[in-house]
Amino acid sequence: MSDMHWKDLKETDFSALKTLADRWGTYINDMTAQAEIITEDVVKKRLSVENFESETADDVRHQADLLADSLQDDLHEYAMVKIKATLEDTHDELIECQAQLLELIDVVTGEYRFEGGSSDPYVVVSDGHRERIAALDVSDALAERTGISGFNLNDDAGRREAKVALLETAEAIAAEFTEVLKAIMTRAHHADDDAASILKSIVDSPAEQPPPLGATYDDLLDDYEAADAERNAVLLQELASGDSEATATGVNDWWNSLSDDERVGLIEAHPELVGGLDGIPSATRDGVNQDLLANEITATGDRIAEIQARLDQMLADGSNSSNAEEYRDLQLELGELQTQHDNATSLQAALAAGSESGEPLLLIDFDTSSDGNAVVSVGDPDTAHHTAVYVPGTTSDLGNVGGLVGDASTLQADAERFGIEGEQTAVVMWLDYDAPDNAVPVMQDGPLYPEAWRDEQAIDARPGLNSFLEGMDAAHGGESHTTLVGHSYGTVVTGATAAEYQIAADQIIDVASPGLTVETADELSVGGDDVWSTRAEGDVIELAVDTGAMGADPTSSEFGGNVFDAEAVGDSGTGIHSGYLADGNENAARLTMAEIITGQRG
Amino acid sequence: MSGADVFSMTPEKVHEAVEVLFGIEAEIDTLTGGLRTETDSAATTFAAANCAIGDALTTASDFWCVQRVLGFTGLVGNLGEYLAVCAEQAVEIDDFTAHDFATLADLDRYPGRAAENASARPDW
Repeated sequence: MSDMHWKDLKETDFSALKTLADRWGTYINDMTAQAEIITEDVVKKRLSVENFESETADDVRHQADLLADSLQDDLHEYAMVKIKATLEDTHDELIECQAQLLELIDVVTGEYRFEGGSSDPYVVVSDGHRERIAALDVSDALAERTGISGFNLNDDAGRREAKVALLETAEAIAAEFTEVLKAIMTRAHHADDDAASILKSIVDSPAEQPPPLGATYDDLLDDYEAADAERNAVLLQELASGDSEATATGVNDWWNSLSDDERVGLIEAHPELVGGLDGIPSATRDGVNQDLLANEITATGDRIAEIQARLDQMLADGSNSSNAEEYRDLQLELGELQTQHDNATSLQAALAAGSESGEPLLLIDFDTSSDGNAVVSVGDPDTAHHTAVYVPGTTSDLGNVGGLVGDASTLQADAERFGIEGEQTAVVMWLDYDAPDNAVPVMQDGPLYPEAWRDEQAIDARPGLNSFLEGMDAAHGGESHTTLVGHSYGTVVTGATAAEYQIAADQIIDVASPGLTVETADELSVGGDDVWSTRAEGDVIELAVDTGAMGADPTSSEFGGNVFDAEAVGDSGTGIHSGYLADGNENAARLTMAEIITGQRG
Repeated sequence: MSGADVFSMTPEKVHEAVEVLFGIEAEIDTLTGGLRTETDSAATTFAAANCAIGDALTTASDFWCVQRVLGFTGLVGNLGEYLAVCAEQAVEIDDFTAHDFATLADLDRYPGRAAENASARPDW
């Protein structure tokens, strides 16, 4: 249990946690290099079949590979995820708690002081402050809050009443500060306890290490390999469920450390986990997800037919009345399955339609439940020279996924057309969030404000988009040139994400944005110089921009980013809003976007 | 996979593999020793500040630097010693103990890895 006192939080140098995390990072790299020496230098070179061929040699090479794999698995599971990541997370959390505490100390100094132990800190009125209150020598703020002007300070009784009232107000303020102090310390204790719990869990059920060579080697080997496969499956489940501390980069490191056989084993056993995990290569996810989608269409189609037959039978023999509950449950299930089936077939049709440039479409992620989500890439983002991640806005769902993939296809074809010869561009349509269903207020027992007027869905989308960008960058070897492109509410998502995280993208383009949740481009982690905004005249989104609800107008000079022109294509405000990538439209904005995406601007 | 009756070896290459493996064993000892010192120092600092992470860091450091890494370097050493005996015997080897390394390997080839140390290694 954390016994950290507020003085400990104030005085401890928590940057030592980050320094230590970095030290573990260096160590992990050095140790990984040792594992690579085993596979590259020992197994492939010195102990190659040309130099050593026999059953013993096979055993030795196999053992050396097992040792290298085992070390890399250990480095990932223990050193990287449980130790380094925990140190980093704890550092970030405690540094923030410390900053809040210092801010509180700054506010209260001179008038209040901290008391109590580590578990029950509280704030009291300082002796000096009491003396000043007794002398009626107090700040304007305290006087105003107490309502001092209501007392007659010209007679003793009035002054006595004023002093009592001032002291009561000061004590009430102290109680409020106590709540703030307790909240800060509770947060710090939680961070400390969580870190301790993760670090101590390292000794729980440690994974097997390979058996030593010797008389019992063959007997022990099968058990070890079975335990190792189980370990990988458990790790995969932890990563997919979010129980692991690993980031998408950690997932990529782990995946790369597996042997081909181990990867195939995991894909066969848990395709749904592999297909949805950021950090796993896009081509791998595409193969897995295409199979899952086809299977889902078959399975939901079969089940729909089965349920429909049962419902028809119940209606015919009248058992729909006698078994009303079963009938209703089947109808509900049928409705959900039909939605799922429609979403899946819509997605499959979009994939089958192909892309404008002929680049293959990769299904990187999908979920057919409810409105449905999908991440589809035109071209392979893991190998392309340039990648754009396109986040669509309000009303986007799997029902209109064909149009959304079409938008990505247009952006990709433009980048190929106007890009640098010999350089490939991939464009990912990222709809892995619950996009607003409406942007127009409706009346329902009073005005019901539409989802697009609020930023909740953008806020919820942030971790997923950040993780996807990080995973894509890791799968590209950490060297991708990436542009985050948002349209309409999609720009709220991109802005909110870039404001919260140091995203793995080089630049941001916002098209027809109601705002990026910030007041200036510099608040976005790509930096103001790499933010590009456009909005055509007459776009209906101007109404939303004028409210300022989603932040400053990104096309204003005060915002501080780059602005480029877009022609108004469409015969109404809503038409213009949807017309930037419309078929047959040679909007000048498309050329500019292609140049930005392919690194020819800025 | 080699055929059942095939046995061919370039002893010098196998010796080189042994040297690389013993080098890895030593390098990992050095890398981990330095890490342990720094981690334990930080653990002491945070324990003194009444942070639960202090003791937990010591637990994690002991687990990794002692239990886990020593297990690994022991296996690398075992593989190296096994190969050193292979290089000398030039036959298929089914059974192997640390004593075999002490008695059958060319110990002059591996200075610093004295026979008494090898034979002190547990027979796996």
